[in-house]
Amino acid sequence: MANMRVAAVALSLAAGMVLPAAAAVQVSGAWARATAPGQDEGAVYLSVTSTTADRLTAVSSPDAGMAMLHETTQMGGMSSMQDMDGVALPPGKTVTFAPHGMHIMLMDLKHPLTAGSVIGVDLTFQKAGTVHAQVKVEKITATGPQG
Amino acid sequence: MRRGLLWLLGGGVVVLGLAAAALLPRMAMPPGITIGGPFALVDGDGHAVSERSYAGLWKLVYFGYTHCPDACPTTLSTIGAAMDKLTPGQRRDIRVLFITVDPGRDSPQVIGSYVKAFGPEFIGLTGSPAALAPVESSYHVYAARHALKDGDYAMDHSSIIYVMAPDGHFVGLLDDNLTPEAMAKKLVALGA
Repeated sequence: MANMRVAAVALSLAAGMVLPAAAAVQVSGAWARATAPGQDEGAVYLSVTSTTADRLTAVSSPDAGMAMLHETTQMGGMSSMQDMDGVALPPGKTVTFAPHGMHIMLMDLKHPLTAGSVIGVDLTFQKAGTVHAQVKVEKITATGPQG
Repeated sequence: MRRGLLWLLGGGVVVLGLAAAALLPRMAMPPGITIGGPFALVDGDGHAVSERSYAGLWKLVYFGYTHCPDACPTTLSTIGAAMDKLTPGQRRDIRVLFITVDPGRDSPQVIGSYVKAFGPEFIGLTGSPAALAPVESSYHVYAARHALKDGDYAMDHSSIIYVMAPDGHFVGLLDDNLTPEAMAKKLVALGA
């Protein structure tokens, strides 16, 4: 009995040591709009959920020369785009990047984004490390991930 | 900085006025405030155009720029989706004029091929800064360059859709955060 308890504790410890790093942060529903001819920047939208408090600190993409965290702010009918140093992830709460709000801005795209293709982004978190996400490219007129 | 703030505050006041106007569709603007007016710009095919080029048509006027990755394509997509909710007859008499606030990067060819992606009734308009300035001021539009970290720049700009009647008069505003359904409904309510 005592042995079983020890085994159970050992198991949960082992699980505890392995699982959080892999499962602490979940990125889902990543999408981007196709680019118009000549346009060499794009915006990636997605949802991030972390089981523990964490912070998204950097983004990059193999498909773009540069990626940045941006937020479009709307104030009294004015639209402005701001750089963000990072995004706080409260434990268990889904943080959504969506049109007219936060987005990952891709600059100096290495190729046009064409509807139906898939590109990648790498999100670096303070605790969870770097997580790669596949981004579905929707048609330019899409207003959400299912376009 | 202070100058920027003043501009923003000024923009806010204008926008509040516009928002009040939007609540009273089809009513006369307060005395002394007019929205829209004559312009001399270039369309996506390189043709010189003026407000008379679109006489007899409803016009949705929106200011933005093609290097804008979020607000502009989101708004243009919503307008395109709203168009899809209208009858072919209603659509036929509407043009969407996307006027650049970034003429340095938006040549006629660039803005022309950009807007085509959103629908057949979209027209991109550009011009020299001297030609665009009076258009921005007649629509009470705020636009300013804003440096980004990597040396590139974004444009802060008014993000409102102006609805202009076939006779050229301003009749109302559409919020860029409307759903396509709500936008289509409001367009019909305004008479389009």
